[in-house]
Amino acid sequence: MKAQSVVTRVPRAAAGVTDLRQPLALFAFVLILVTIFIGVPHRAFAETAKPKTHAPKVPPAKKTRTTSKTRGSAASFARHHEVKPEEIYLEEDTPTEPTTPSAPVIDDTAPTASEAPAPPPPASGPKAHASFETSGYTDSDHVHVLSPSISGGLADEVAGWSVNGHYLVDVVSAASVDIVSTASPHWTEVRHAGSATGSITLDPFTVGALGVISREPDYLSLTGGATLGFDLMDKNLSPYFAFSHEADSVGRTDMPHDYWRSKHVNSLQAGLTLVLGRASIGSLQWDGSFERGYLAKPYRYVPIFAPGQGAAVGPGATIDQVNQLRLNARPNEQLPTARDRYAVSAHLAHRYTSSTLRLDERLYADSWGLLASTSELRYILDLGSRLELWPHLRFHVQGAVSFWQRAYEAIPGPGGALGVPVLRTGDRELSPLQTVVVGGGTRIKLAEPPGTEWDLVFEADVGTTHFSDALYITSRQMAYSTLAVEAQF
Amino acid sequence: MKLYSFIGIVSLLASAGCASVKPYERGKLAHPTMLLGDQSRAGPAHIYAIHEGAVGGDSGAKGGCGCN
Repeated sequence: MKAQSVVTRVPRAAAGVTDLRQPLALFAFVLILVTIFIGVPHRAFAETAKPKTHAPKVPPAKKTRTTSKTRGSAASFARHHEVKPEEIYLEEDTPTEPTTPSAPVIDDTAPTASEAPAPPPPASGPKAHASFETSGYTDSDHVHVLSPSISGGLADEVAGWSVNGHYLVDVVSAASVDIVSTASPHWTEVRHAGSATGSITLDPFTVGALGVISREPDYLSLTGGATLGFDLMDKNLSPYFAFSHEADSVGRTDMPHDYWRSKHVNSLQAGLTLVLGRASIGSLQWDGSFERGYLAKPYRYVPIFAPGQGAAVGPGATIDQVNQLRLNARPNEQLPTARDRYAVSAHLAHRYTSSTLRLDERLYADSWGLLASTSELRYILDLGSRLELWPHLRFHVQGAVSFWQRAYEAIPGPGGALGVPVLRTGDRELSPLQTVVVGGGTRIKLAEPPGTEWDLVFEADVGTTHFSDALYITSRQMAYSTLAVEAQF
Repeated sequence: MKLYSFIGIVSLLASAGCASVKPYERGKLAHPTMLLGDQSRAGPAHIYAIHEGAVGGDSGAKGGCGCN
């Protein structure tokens, strides 16, 4: 490629000077030989790179410095590209056109070629990462959650394997309107969740496995799964697939475990990652989730109203209004024992010179008749080499499940008896709602390679949800924040 | 049959929309912010899962650089 470009330039340069063509062609031929056998040590790269005849003249140490202008170390770039840091330098600084020889030399204090230290060896061996994160959530429905978590892992991107672990504790304190309406006391509960994942790349395939366990006093969830991905079209198109099985036990804290109910979820995922251009990447994805078993909440009771009385109970009716109108019967929530859930989503990322735009869209439908759309946007700005700042916007809108009723009415039966609807729920997340979340975050790089990388991440979001057809409340405001410390060494 | 047709159409569109970007042209794609995995941290993702009637869409897509 490099040699070819030289050949094509020669005739242009010699246009109209026909008597010089033969010596120039001979010169070009000699240059080709020199290029192939002597001039370019990284032959494989030279076969595909844009012309950059000056690159070999630049001392290796300077090349590495230039590469480090972008986020991440030269080594990490090298692992992504499976080439040496010097080659990455060429990519970073010659995106379209060859540059002049002086362009890469941006650091006057850099050592000269004669005194330059040896270039760092290509990164190999595992790297470890760890993070500690604390999140806090609060909303206007008197639900507060504190969630500290830790995670860590090892990854060798050159060898193509990784293992990761994550442990989280949720401390939930709730006195929501649903709890108060059933005359239940405020409660506090602790959930423990741990997960482990691993993957290995056997080019062009990457296979992975995951396991998750989540435990709280009245709920136990176990999940196992596997992933498969592979690369096509020079890694410009990467299909991936995932499967997981979740086995849950659902009960009440005052109920022996033998009486708990079971729930099983099989989830499938299929997607394509597409390289859309030098600065754009996207993915299309299909998700299927098939839930079977006990899908209701054992603590949830549904107020029932006399026939014809439901319309009198408007959206946002207070606890007192509901209690005045409802019948004495207050059955448990009862939902279908099967739910097939589907989502199609698109994810897009575009990198500008010093910012990244992220767009995500999900369309959702399920066998209960619920339709939803979720849109998300992030715009990540690089404010210097050590600071990132991003605004975040999320919008979710959904309809109701087919059996949703704000106020369920009793069904007249023979002999004046009253029955209750077979399917009934008080879960307002199954009702029509719209949520807007606005927030942002920042990442501060406290320390960069060489040595341990330390990042401080802070995110904060506020949001509001409007319920247009639910009892007790018509809106809920929430605030959420996360503080995380991440290290890579 | 409809499913196969859908998969075929999506694959064709995906292939058509897919650029041929060489490894040495992927400097921007390799930037950490270009990773297509779910952008939400574990905490917010859990909150969204509870507060929304929809699930799925958390991208299993890998790598920003397209080279995994």
